[in-house]
Amino acid sequence: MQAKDMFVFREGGWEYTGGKRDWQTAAGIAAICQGFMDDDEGELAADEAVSCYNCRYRRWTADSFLCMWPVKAKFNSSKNKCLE
Amino acid sequence: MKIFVGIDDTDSLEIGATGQTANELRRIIMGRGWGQPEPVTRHQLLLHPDIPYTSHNSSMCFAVEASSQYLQEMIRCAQEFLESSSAPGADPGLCVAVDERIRNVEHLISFGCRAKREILQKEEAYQTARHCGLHLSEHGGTGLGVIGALAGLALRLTGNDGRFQGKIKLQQPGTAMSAAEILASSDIEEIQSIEGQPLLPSETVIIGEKIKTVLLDSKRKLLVYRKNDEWHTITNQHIELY
Ligand code: SF4
Repeated sequence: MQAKDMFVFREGGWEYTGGKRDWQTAAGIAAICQGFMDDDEGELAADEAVSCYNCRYRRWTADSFLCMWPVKAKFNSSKNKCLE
Repeated sequence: MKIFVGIDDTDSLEIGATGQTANELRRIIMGRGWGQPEPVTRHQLLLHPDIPYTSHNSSMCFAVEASSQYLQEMIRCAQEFLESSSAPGADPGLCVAVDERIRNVEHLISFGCRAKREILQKEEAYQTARHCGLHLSEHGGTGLGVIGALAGLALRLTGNDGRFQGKIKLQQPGTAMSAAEILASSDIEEIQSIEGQPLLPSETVIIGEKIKTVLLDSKRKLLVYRKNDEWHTITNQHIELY
């Protein structure tokens, strides 16, 4: 499984398909993502320090999150090129 | 008298954090000698595509015991601070309430609870603030932060919503401490399991990496969970629910 397979483009950004409790995969994606940026201490959601769930660019949705990393937002096609 | 301060929407995608802004405002209030503010609580509001939040739609609130002579100055100071410190593109809102002057408290609390489930409008926030006797003002952008600022303050008043910001230092992670020792060495007021069972003072808790506390029954509580027949402090993964 590659990181790009875990996101689908929706209006507003790239939505993570793994939901909010996919700890291992979210940490794996952030570990290789150039966009990862620590969010404020009070907003951390995962125990792994580096995780999409702890990234400043994740925007929570009811079921998951959107990745709002501006570089990624450029690729508004069905393919998430920045994570390839 | 007790003054409650709620703020929301002071950050942008890359700059600032409303929790930090609230803490800086606390420090200013302390520095001016107006009072000793209580810790900040973070209140989660509705996550919905039609709500233009930055990344988490959470709102911050703290309370401070202060003399009424400082109230107007405190409001002015908070307004100026939000205007000068909020990130470009933010939509900051400020709500200030004095506990003994709040009217129609059920109406106010209902607004806060609805903000966790429904999309609310700015006009309703202003109406509610007027109806309940609160100060509410916007300080840039669309000013939509007034909804969260009012809702966060209302949720803090319930005494049963949100988690405390800031770090609590206990002993090293992995250390065992008795519940009595934890209470004696921190601002934590009670320890209970996530199911709601209070711990006896003699019970032992294994300290985790980060100590997270929540507002329950109007107290700062440490929550613990059972693993391998021992109590452990909750992790980031558990705190999502608060
Ligand atoms: S930029 Fe997006 S993909 Fe990268 S770590 Fe942050 S949330 Fe995950």
